Amino acid sequence: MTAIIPSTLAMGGLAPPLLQVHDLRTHFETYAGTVVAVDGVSFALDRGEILGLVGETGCGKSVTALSLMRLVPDPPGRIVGGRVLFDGQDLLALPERAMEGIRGRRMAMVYQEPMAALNPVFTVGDLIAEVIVHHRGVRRHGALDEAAEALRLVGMPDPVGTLGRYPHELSGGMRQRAVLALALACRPDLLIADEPTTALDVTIQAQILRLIRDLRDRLGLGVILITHDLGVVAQLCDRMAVMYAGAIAEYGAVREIFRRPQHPYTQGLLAAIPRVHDLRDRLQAIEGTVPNLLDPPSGCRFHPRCPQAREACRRERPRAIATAPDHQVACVLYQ
Amino acid sequence: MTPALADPRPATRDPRPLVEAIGLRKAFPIREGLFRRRHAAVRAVEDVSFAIREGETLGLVGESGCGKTTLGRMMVRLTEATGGRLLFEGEDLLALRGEALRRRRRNLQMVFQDPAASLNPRKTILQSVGEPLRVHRLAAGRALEAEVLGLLERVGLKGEHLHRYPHEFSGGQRQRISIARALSLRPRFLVLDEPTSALDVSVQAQILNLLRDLQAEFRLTYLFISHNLAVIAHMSDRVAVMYLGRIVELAPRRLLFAAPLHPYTRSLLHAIPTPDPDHRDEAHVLEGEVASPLDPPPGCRFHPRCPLRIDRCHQEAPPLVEHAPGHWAACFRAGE
Repeated sequence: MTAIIPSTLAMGGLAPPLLQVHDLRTHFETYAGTVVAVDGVSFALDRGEILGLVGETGCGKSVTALSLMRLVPDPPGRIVGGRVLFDGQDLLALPERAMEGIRGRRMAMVYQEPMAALNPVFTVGDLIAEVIVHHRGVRRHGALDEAAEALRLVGMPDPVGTLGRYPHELSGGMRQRAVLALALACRPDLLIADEPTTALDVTIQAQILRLIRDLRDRLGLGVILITHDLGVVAQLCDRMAVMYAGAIAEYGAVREIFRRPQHPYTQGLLAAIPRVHDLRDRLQAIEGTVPNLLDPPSGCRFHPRCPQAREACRRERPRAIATAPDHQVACVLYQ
Repeated sequence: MTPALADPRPATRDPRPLVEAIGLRKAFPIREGLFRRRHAAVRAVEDVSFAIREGETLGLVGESGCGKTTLGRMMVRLTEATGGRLLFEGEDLLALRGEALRRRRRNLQMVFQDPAASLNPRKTILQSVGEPLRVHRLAAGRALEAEVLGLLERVGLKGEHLHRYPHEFSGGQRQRISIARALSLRPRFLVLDEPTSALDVSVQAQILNLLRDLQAEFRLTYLFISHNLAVIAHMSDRVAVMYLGRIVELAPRRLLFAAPLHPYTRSLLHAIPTPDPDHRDEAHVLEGEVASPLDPPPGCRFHPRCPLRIDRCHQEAPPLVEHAPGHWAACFRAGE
């Protein structure tokens, strides 16, 4: 999948998108061989837009996010190709020093496990203030005031009192709010959230999802939300990219894709989810398992599991084709 | 409504359910200090009663810490109850000891969430799946191998897998192996504790379909535990909703999802992210968080988060009452 046209340009949008990713490729060198984790991913994100990057374990969605932040551990990982234009500037061409000024300040990331981002020996106030001091050169006292402001922004009850508390004193939901405050302390333009609610209970998940949408509305953030949960995408995202084995299978407006899923993989995923008011006795499973990226299938990577596979699928990588104004699919059925 | 005490076995009027829990409870002592004195207890499960008919699936849903896993483990006596009775075909399993218990227990098996943790990495699949048969001296040698092969084939694996180790399999395949092992003693009752929560949706669908097929083929009775309401809705005949150690609502699946009575059940239903972008629902987000089971709120345990709470809820725990045939809820304002 090489030629997905960034949607804003395709639609003749006026402002350039906040983020444009072109043909991103990330490999991991292992003893067993090269793992092609991200294999030519392209998409765009506007300010104030929430893009869902959805797919199953090992599809490359998290490595895509780490590549955008240039946080892929090297070795064994390496970004071997592509461009990541952030506000028009190619992040992949920047020296590491310049990247440090952007990471955490203009783009920030939150993870599934909040404790991974919260050093347990520091108070929440110290952790957030450190980011503010580091990136903005504000004095510590002022930084603490701003830290309280950041906690207020994410709806933390008793923001001033929370400054003096340690991460282990917070509940799972409150930790995720603290991590969001940490990420947003420098008011970045882009937030990447990697499965931010997967470890939370559904009632707490609902609170955090509402908070992310609310922050987008108030701050005009661009958000990339990585998830395996199509329900979360349907509820929160404006656009979505369905990933499979390192590539984007389908990309476009969320409503459009849910109404008319075109890639057999997307169709399979939607049919496989159990739904509360659907009383079918059997779910439609996708047979087989996710391919090994050390030795991916030839042609379309989904073809061994695809109910509609034909001979051409074995030979050719399908290109992305626009089937509607905001809908692209990489499948030979549409070529 | 009069707070008439509920029938302790609200689940069914079937004269002879296969499994019955009557007033089951579990308190985990917290010991601290030099003499390890017991100074408090986490009441993980409090006075839980239900019954399951043969061939039926009872879904048990709730958020983390609600006691659903503890309850599931008690149902197969992996965790000892601190009170109540547990009947299997009318016989109290909690009163059994020694050989009598061992023989009875064959009928009750459990499948866990994480198959990587429940399979010994140093044992081949033949050894793991065959172990219960060896321990119970039901088969050995060739007969054992043939039996294990039959089980593996039934869950969708092959003979070539017999001599491999767990790490050589995908998550979905490992869960198939765990299911084969749970079935090896031909149990009649299975507790399935989040059996697909660690799996991707495409694989989850395969395992859920398999569990349904096995249930029909072997006339199995399931207690299906999950935090995922959609999975529960798909698998269950009846559903019990737990909150902080208690069942707050119990009803046939259709009733529970179409006309939930307890405000907590309704909040849970609203909180599921529906995979339909044309139905976005933010109006009903439940505020607050679950209280600690170490220090549960007095009265109704849900009252601090409840949009319908009244003064009475602060003092009195509402009993589980039947509001419509088979539809039980523990709330003074059920259905309002």
